[in-house]
Amino acid sequence: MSAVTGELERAGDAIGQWFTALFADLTTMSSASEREIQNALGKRSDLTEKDLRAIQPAATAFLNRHPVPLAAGLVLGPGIIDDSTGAIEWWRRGPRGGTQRIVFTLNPDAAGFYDYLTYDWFTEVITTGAPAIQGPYLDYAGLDQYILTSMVPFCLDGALIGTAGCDTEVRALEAVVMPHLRQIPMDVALVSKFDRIVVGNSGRFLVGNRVGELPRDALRTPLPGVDLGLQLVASPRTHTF
Amino acid sequence: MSDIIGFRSQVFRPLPEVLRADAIVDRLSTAISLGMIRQGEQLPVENQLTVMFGVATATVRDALHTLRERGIIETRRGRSGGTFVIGTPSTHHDVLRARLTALSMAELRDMEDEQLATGLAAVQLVVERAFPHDIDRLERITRTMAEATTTDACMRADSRFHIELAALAQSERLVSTQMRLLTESSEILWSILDVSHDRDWSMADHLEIVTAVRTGEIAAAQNAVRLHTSRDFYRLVAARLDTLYPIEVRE
Repeated sequence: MSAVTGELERAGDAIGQWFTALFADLTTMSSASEREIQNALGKRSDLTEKDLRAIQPAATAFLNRHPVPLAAGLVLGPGIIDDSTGAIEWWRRGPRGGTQRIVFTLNPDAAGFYDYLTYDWFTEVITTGAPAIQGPYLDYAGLDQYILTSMVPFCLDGALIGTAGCDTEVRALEAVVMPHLRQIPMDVALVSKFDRIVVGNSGRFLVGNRVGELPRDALRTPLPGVDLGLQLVASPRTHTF
Repeated sequence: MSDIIGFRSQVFRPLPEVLRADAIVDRLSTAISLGMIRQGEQLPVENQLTVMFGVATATVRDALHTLRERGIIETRRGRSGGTFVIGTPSTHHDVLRARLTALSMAELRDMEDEQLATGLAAVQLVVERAFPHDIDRLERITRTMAEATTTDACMRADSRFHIELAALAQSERLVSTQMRLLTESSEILWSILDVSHDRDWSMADHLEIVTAVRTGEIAAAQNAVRLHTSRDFYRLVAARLDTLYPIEVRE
């Protein structure tokens, strides 16, 4: 094993561990939210939107434990609370500590409708039951920021009824990943599914771009730990300005 | 030190306080109409608004008073109090017509130029960056315009298309520019268009752009953007001229 492959693997291990810890805590938040909702429900069986407010402590605990994500919460599909619209219970860090609830427009006929059913972070997780990460993308009518969304399944009494997760600003993730990539003497990028660049260590691999064609001596390392389709792509440096 | 004269001097023209209050009402109403500020969402507090808009407290108060009277916002007292959006503004047809006629031909053309530049850049980046499932999502959003039965609904669907297109370019700046352009033109445009005549070509234009970015042909996508932009602005120019310089029909 060459020195470079070793460095690439070390970086992949460190980044993979970070995501694995994040998703483990999302799973913890998901189960804590379930308990909080069950407490709010008591003996009732009709889940209302108000009951979802009970998850604020779980979301806040998650955000306190992980300084990098911006907001966290729960997304339920249509048919759980009412027939047509779903529900989003999402909390973000407040400007002076604490958390504040984000309002989404879930009425399809209203301006600024947040059509979350068109996003993979919902449809994929709810159909496969596996965790997923999507992005980077501009979350219009959602957080209205350039983010990645990380989601795990959310179950109530054994039934998969939604997703629990968090949003992370691309710039915040860059600060986590970049130090590892800078150690490697190659052009290296962390890419999400379909080879979209999340963080790159040079101007060759800019966030949001596709990796594009790579030379034959390029290397790929899937991140170890939780399977999110994330990889490191490394290619010999092309530009030496 | 030299004086800034000529057309640049307009930057520093004083703003009458009463016009500033109107400008704030217009800005917030348009943003709420287009969904940039959401129903149920809390507005920043008075002090923050004063700083953000750079106006006197009394001006912000006047503007909020007008919005409250129109049933667009509501101020609640107490611990979880504040000013909240509770209604959708229906900007009067006359107000929009006045906004259109106040624009000169040069200003309209310049607005078209910026829309064109934004659209051309957006489709180029979308071709480079978007994946087939992103385009599928864009197409689904584009096709919702077929269900619009009012000009307001058409306007929302139209704006939505342009913002989602810019969002697929992955550029926050392009999205901001596109949003600003829409706040300037979208309500005016749909005040002069109507559902039965204009909804279908507008959606067809959007779908043509979607199809072109799907095939990855930048030139075709940019042509479709050019066509769509000029169609929109041709109609704006025609409406302005018809209002300001009506042609007398001779018997």
